[in-house]
Amino acid sequence: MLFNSFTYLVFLPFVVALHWALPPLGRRILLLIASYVFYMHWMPTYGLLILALTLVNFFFGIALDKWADHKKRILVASLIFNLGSLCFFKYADFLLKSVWNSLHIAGDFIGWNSGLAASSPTLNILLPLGISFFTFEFIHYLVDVYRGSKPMTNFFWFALFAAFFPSQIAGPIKRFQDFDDQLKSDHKFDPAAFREGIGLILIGLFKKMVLGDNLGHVVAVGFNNPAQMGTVDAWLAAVGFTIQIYVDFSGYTDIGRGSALLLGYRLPENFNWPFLAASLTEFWRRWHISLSTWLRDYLFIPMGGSRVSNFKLKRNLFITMALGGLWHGADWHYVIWGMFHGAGLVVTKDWSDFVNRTPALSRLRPHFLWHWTGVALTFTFLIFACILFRASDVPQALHVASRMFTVAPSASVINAFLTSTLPFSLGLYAAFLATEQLAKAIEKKGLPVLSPAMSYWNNSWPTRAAAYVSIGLLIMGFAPGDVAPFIYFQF
Amino acid sequence: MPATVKESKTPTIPQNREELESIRKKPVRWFAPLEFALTLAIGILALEAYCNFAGVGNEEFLEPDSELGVRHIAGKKVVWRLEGYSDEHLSSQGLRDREHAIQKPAGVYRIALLGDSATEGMQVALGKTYGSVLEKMLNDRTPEERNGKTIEVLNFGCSSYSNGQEMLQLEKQVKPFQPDLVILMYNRGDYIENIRDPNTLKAEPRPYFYIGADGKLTQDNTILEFNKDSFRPNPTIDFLRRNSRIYGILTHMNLTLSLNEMLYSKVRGSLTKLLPGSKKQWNVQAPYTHKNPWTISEQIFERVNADCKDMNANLMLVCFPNIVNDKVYGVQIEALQKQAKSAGFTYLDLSEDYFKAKDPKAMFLKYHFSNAGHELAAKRISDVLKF
Repeated sequence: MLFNSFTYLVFLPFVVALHWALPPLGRRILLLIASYVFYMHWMPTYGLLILALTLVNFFFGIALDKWADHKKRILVASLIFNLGSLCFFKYADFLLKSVWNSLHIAGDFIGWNSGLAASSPTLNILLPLGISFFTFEFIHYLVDVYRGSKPMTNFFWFALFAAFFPSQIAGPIKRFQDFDDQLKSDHKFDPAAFREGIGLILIGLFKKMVLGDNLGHVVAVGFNNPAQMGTVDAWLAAVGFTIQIYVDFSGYTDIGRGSALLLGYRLPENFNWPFLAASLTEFWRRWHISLSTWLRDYLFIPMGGSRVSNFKLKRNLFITMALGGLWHGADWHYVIWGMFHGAGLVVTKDWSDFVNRTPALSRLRPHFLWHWTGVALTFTFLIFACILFRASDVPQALHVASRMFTVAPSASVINAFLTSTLPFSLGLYAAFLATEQLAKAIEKKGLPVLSPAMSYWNNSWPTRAAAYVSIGLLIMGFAPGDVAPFIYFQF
Repeated sequence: MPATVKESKTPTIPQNREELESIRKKPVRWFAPLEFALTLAIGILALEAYCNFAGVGNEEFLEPDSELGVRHIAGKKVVWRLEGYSDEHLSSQGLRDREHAIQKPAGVYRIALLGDSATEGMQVALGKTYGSVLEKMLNDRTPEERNGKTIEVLNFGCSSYSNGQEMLQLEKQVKPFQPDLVILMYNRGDYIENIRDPNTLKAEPRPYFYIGADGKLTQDNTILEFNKDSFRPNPTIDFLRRNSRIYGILTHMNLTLSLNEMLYSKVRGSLTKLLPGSKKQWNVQAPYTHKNPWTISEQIFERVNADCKDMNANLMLVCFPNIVNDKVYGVQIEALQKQAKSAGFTYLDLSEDYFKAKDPKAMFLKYHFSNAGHELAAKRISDVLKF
């Protein structure tokens, strides 16, 4: 079920209304059923897959707690099981294709005809939605239990943790301790959280449907025909995708977090103004926070983290990011994207060390120009990284990147941008962000200017309802006609 | 087993003014509906203004027509973004074209274009449609090459039209313009739009056709009759259709959801049944069956050819490129070629020209011609025309 579908528009209010009408135990049961309905609406068979994975991991958790003497072996077995499942569903075709291509290359090199068909056979395994996300949640659960956390002892609530529909398909990657605490708490209807939830859903829908989907069409014009792109076209397509992936993914997260809030649950934040990061290190603290903290806690730190030699630290950074890239998608351009980020982090680390060692440069650090130069350079790096992410393969990525430095007249992507609703919707979104920041600044200063308006807004449900209807109409009007899935659904 | 302590439900004393306010019994908001209506009205007006500024909600350009099913809304401004882009007004006669006098001026050779969305060309600017490009190409010829005439191309193309509707349009709307040549663009799948499933009334409101017991082409207006309530003039709806951006957004959303969301179609279908007058008793079963749908298309083209002869015009049938190498369409193209030969009208298949093009993909946006596609169509038609 897509968050931006009519089905979800019917599903969510129904679940929310029923949820608050039931006693606490009934609510949890309802959420478990609703989460499976949500997942199985896409493909019923895969409901069994998530159920089987949940069941096995639940027993692994219990076993880790019960047989402490053998917990290392149990953990290894559980990791093999989870990573094996992920590899089977996500990477089997990729591995087959890579081996096949390697045989061809080797055959061509030594002049031996392998007799293999040019294109590799495929196993035609359909990737279950969200498997990368819930596998990482399972691994986090098992590692934390291994490290001493108490496992969840109720299978049904563990199943709800694994399948909770607002975060099921594309995160945020939850931490079970936090979710378990919320699960056990006596949920009371909180009007403020409810208002926040609706606000987040509307913002998420605007980001996804109005900005993301329209940008998707503009970007596709360029990436589908790289040869037709002029210089400005290529830059516009690359910058467009960089923004698209942010609004698409953060829009998804907003809708998920908003949906959870309507049900009385708070999911972790996943984004914090990532494009304002002044370095790549800072970017990864602001972008897909739940994944970057997962990679830090369950990959980077176990490899030694930063308490190792400088060489090993850089190696760890590089490996972590390369594997992070592979986690995103089963293709070499994702691995290269991860390695690109890894290399970027290594360079950032070296540069930071160099600045620390050079007093003249260290003195410049507090200057605003230093900061904004960092922001600009980081964003430029991200643009090139995003080309690798968007391209269907490495040659296409190189083709698009080469167009950015080829002086040629532009038309195709510029026209697509100017004739879309984007100039108007981006303007509207910028105005919204500016107003929001202004309001926050006023609130921070303790000025009572906005208090009457906020008080009226919070207390007047008819005004809010009318505003929600108007915003809904605005989203429908400015969104393109087709329903596009979220980019991160493929992972 | 640890003992569980149940939290006591003793009332607490409010600690501050906010807590006191929150537990104080709130008054009944008797003005809530008014508040809602007023805020919604402000929201809608603001949205209408912004959508007008941004050219959003302007994609509605068809209105019900009791004879043809639908027709263009005369003079309507249309900003088209669903595929490609255009921002223009329909003419006061409801053509996707500039203004044309009904009476043919002296020294003018008129070409009337009939077809569906491919001819209408909403996906490109008006000046880039194959009709406009053809007119320019022909008038760029020397006076001798065009027999001293000025060429005027009139675009009667209308989205969703079947060949049957185009035939009726020719007889009703095109005839007064006295064309010298009628060009009809046939598209893959057009033949199926002339017929309906005789066992159901769920069909696009338009005239349908069948072969009567006498072997002649017969019109079936059952679906139009069934939907006749929607053809009655409704000043409010007509006003909204012509002027409201939000109305445009809602109809667009209705179309999008109907196409993409099965649940929406089901919910909508169930709600429609609850509307007054929906339980009309109709004989669903039509008094005919379709033995060979293609004969209906052949008879339609026969009648179009006869109509053209009646108005002293020539007929040219142009086949939209068979870009997906559809075998059924391929058979139809061959059949049309034979019919053209025997009936004596001109025939042109664009398929080969598109496959020969340097970049065939660039000829299309998604389903429709791009600027380059329109230009190629115009050029090919122009090559065939002699005056």
